[in-house]
Amino acid sequence: MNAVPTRTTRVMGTVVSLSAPAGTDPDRLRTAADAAFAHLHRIDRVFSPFEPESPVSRIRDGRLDLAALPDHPDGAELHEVLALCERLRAASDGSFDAWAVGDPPRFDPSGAVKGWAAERASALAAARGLPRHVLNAGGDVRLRAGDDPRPWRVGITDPHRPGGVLAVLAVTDGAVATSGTAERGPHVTDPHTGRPATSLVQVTVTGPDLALADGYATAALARAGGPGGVPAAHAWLTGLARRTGYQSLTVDPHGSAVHTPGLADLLAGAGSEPSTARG
Amino acid sequence: MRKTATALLATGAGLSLLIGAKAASGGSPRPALAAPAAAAAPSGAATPGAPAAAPTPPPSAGAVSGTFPGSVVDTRYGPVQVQAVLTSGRLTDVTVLQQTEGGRSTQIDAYALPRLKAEAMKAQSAHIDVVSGATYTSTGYAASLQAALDAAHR
Repeated sequence: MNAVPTRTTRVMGTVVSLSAPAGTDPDRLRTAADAAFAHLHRIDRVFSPFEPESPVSRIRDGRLDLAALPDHPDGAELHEVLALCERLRAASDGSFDAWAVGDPPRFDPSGAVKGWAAERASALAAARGLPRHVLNAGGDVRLRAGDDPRPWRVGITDPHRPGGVLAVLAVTDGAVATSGTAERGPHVTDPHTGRPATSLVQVTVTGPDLALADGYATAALARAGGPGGVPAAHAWLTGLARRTGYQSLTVDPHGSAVHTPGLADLLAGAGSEPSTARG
Repeated sequence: MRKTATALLATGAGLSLLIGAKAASGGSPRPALAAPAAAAAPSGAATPGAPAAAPTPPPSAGAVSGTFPGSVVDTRYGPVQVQAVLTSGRLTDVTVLQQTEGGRSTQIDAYALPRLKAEAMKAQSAHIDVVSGATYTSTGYAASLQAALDAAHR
């Protein structure tokens, strides 16, 4: 059970791991991981808000004009992330706004980049000979089935009890993203107030695409700290589930955990027998 | 005021509570709508930071029982250390000896439901491929727990 072949890298301020079914040829895993991790490190350089000369820093400081993106070597990826940011801004009624992060508000698409980059890294790993895998980007995970229909079992961390899990989801192929204030201190800012969003301690969103799941989770956390508070965030997540099928689970500072009705279909029995090695 | 109450009700109708129902369900993992968690929390029953009650017998041969402290694992947010409690070779409790601040407070821990803890233990013993939401401190936790289990089975 513990002999799951895994490779890890430190990137984007977190740890990313790629795990393959037991029995996978180590060279096969290495080849896929090399491609996926190289991509993540490159994206990290392009999108780092801390690196003064990164394209994102230059956009933020007004030194790189958006009109010049078509001719920029990283223009296609910058354009893709900007489009994702805009999509998330619209979907969240402005709770997620990459152009108004922090106080004073500045351009920082980091909230969208990690999930987006991890989604692409997982696709790369699949294309490089590892169709069935788990890619874990600092707790935001992308699970791929390959040709094996058995679901993966994904624990959702309990923010009030390190190492404990609130629930186990059975996911065959898709994404589970969790944004929280507990693991790393408040790190999501509400653009309406410029203050850290802390009225929910954790939001988990699951659906097909990690870029969207991560963005929705971040947006919901920000929204909970906004004018409507937690009820507004819950109402938004309920509507999101109805519109998009992305299901969610939230935890408040008192430990109360609620989820959208559709998530019940994914809940796996926590007490069931351990499955044998996956291959 | 009234508006707020309406919004809360609407939210409650759209979302089902996870914790109480799930923990009580035993064999059936499917949660039903349950009372608010605040009502389910036994007042004063939680004992935040209470160490494992059992003393620490050294590990012996065969089915191992005892309390096994894990190594202290440094994370970016401070040291993390857990101890594992094994009963006849089964993991029956995990106690956090050291944890980072990271926005978590002991006040919050006071609300943690004992039933939730039981559920967490059950889940931990089941097979889980990956955990969503775990970052540095959880990685440290996992490393410390692994060290504790390794020590127990040596």
